Amino acid sequence: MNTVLSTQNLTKKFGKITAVSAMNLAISENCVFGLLGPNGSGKTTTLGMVLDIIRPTDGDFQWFGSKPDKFTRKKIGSTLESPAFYPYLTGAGNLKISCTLKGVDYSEIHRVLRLVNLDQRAHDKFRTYSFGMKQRLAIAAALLGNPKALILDEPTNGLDPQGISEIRQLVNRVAGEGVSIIFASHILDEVQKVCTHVAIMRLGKILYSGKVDEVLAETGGIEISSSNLEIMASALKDCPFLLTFRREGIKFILTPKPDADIHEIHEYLISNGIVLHHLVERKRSLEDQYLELLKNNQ
Amino acid sequence: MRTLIRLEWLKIKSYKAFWIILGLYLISMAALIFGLPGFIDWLAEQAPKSEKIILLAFKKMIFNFPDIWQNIAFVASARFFIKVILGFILVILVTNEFTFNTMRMNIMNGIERSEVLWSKLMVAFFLTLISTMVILFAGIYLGFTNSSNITLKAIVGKTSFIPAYMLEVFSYLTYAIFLSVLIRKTGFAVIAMVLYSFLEPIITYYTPDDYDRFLPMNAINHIIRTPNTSLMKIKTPEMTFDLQEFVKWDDFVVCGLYAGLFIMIPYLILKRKDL
Repeated sequence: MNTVLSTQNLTKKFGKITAVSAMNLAISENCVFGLLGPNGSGKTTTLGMVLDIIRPTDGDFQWFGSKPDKFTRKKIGSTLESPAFYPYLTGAGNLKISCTLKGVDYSEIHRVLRLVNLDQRAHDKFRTYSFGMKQRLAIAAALLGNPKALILDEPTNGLDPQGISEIRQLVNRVAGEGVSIIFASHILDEVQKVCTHVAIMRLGKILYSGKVDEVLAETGGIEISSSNLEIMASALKDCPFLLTFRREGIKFILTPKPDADIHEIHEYLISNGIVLHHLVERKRSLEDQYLELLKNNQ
Repeated sequence: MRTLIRLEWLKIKSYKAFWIILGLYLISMAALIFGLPGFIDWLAEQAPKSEKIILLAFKKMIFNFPDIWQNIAFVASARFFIKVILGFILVILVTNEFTFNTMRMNIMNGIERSEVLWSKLMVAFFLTLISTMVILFAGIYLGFTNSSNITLKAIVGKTSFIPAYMLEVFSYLTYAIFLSVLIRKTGFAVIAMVLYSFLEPIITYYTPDDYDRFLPMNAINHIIRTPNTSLMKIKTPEMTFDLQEFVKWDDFVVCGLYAGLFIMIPYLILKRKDL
């Protein structure tokens, strides 16, 4: 697969603070790459560097396998931090500027404004927009002219729940059209829902990088419950398929042996006269992983 | 190049503040130049008889070809007071790009850092052209209506003050761009621009006289100095101070060098710094 963006040893120091430290990334085509990390972990600084806004202290990066120039940037749709537009111009007027910068026809403006549901307010001045609308205009600008790659820096910041879900759908749709997306966020849930790959950042370093599926694949145990918890507890004690178990309220959380099957556990419980009214395989959420990673690297 | 021109046009086309300030500039400039004949007439009316004749002769001479070019260029550049309005426009346009974060946005979407500077220099040049056009038309109009000497030789004589005026205004605007890129905040840049105009005369006072003209504002203002027209010769034959008949090439060079410096420094800043 082709690489969209790769960085080697990318480093940025602001005085004594190292905002990004020797970052090595390789983002391949057709993926939604989540850059996840708490505030101040260096996400925006990283994106700023690959967009030529921030000068790296050290290291290198390539877009689409070659050294970047302004023509590369015309093919990348991007939002960085808060939306930046001319307040005295209308939404459409601002997009005309974006079109001119990218060499895209003005006819695109209406299309992207409809994509983000802003066409009704296209001819109002930017300064009259709410923060959510400004954010949506920034996303509209990023979508101009069918970009090959999309950089979205916390795009759902300031949006209402409906707006957030719309943007997620939009990202999924655009990703479905084969556009590679880099998605920076500090919200786990969002990355989990939208991204195929994830890199977790903290203090300018990547702690973990891989497929979202793989992070989720590790099981977080089995949740069961029945009407008589006392009998269940004594049965579970002798169950040969379990490593451990613990009680959480009216539920038991089981950690099965690696080769054990839910089947076998269930059969064992039935043969001991226990009928379950609740059985769920717990996926280990990204959140658990994330918090654990952050904790381990404290 | 065409992209940059279209870009700047889109930015200023609907920018009310820009057009209002530009309008104010043009009105004050026109008022100053076109008001001059009327002002002298008014002075002559107030003056005693003996003075009246001199003043009316003075009026005739001011607008005589070819001296008119130097005279109105001198009045329009007026050392500071009018040019500064154009300077404000540039400061506002450049610092806006920093305050709105739109310089970032522009670069992210596909122009070079240096192109940000070139596009603003184009705006500066455009404003210089407008200002020069006013001088040109005013000169032609006032010259033809007031000059007693309308020969081709007289008309084109001393027109070297027109390119001199252009360089003066353009250099001043590069100075405005330089301050804006250096300071980035509209208010502070405006204060710095105004404050230095008052500061430099003080520096001039403590600088050896021979070096005065190498100070930036002096260099810019020195291209067109107090006119040494025929009248001045009549009125003040004994005075030999800073009066000028023709543009001096070395003044031109010193001013040009400053313009180069005021382009070079922001270029390097934009090239190297984080935006």
